[in-house]
Amino acid sequence: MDIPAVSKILILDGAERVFGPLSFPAEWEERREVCANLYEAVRILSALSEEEFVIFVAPSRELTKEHVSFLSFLKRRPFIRCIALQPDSSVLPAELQQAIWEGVVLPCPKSVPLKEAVRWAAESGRNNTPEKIQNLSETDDIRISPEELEALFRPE
Amino acid sequence: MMENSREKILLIGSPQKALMNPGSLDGASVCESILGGIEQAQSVSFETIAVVLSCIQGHPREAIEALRKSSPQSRILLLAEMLEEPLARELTGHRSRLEAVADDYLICPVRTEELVSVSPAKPAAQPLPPEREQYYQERIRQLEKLATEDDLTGLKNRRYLNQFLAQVLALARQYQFPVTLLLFDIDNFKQYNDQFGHPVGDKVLIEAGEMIRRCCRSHDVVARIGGDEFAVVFWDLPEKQRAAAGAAPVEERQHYPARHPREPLFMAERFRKEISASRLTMLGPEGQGQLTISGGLASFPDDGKTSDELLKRADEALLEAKRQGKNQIVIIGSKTNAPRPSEESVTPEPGEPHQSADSKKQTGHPKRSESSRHSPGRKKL
Repeated sequence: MDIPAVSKILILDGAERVFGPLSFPAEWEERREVCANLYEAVRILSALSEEEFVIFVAPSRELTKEHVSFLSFLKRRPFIRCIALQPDSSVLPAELQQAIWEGVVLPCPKSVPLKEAVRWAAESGRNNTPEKIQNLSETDDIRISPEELEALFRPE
Repeated sequence: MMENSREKILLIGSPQKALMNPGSLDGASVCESILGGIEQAQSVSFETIAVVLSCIQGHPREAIEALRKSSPQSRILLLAEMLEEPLARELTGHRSRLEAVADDYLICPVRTEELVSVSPAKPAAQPLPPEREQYYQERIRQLEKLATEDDLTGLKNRRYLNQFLAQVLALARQYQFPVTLLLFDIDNFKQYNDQFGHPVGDKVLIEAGEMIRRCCRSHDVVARIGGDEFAVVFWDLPEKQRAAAGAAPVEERQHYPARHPREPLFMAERFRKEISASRLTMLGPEGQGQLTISGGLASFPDDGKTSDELLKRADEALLEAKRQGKNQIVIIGSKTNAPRPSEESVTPEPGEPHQSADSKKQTGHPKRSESSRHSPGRKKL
């Protein structure tokens, strides 16, 4: 499984504590880097050029610490794909929920293997759709077109 | 990628919170969030980076460390509120067990000029000789010290206490943590002055100040607020500061409020016992055991919600301690007559009198009117 476009997979230390050991194919290992905390992650990500396509993996709880400014940071840097690991169904702050809805942050529940999530994040762009990783295994496309959405709210 | 230009100041956090004169920040860059600051420091070189500590939502040490790595050559100046001073001291290496991650701190709000004055950079037009700049910086520190410290004991002064109490109570209301105020004075202090002279009286005050400092936690604020009157603010650290200090884990925090006012009471009692057993050579061969204190405790939120209310209630408890024979700590009762669960008595240790015979004999020179209202809820301990 090759993802040549991805130049770095940055993982927040602690992700493995909540998610179990994160195993990657050998060809990904050299692109993998672990950072100590969210501040360190922002420092590393800030130094990257916009040509580099990066996937950042962090437990959602860590993202909630500075979530408003972190989301602004992500929006300024569309070349970063952020995967939020969600070990449970704890409620996220509204801004983070909104960011997930907008596709800025990709939620990854414990049931989805992380390498699958990384592959998915690498292949999909930020297309502002409410698509979730949970839908990966589903063959049916559940996305609603603008016409269908409008029809839902149109009175008979 | 670092640009060649070198700017003077980056302020991270709200200028309104940090500065007395926020409109005068000409030429400085401002970034409201710490993450934005780290990002900016990565691309622009600054001489000074001033960080408002309260803008950090997560772990302050981690944040400042990342900032330091972003801009290793910058001087990092922390802008702390009074109640964040213990954290600021720790981050600037005032405690040996943890490494310094910032260069210096100031208590905010500060004047914009202070940000410049602590910067190693010198104005291009009128460069100051290094010794002159060092002299000015030293003078600023001395003035800050004079404004907030008692010069005899080195403890905080009444002005600092009043400001700190107001700030810590505002935070306690927001984050729901307990705050307990202890007021105490030295029993019959006037006698020591009259009998041994004022220099000995001063030494007694210094000794008492050092003892209470030793009996309290490093972040509790100890102040001398009058002649022989002292105050201690016992407060619980908000979560982020506890984490930064490597204190008890978050889970334990849920149990912490139950300790107030019991934990401060034990600290106050420990101090009372220590001072009454101390050997004060300046008081002559019979100095040991002569010096006693009386104190009163009041806690937020049960006994008062504002600093005025807490001061009043703690003072009432202190009067009650005097009235009941001195050499004791009294905790003010709740508004009802029934004692609260936290008002359990502290049993004196075997062989230790609750009230010394000496103190009963002393007539004293009451400095206050003792005609305040009867308070059945007070508990002698």
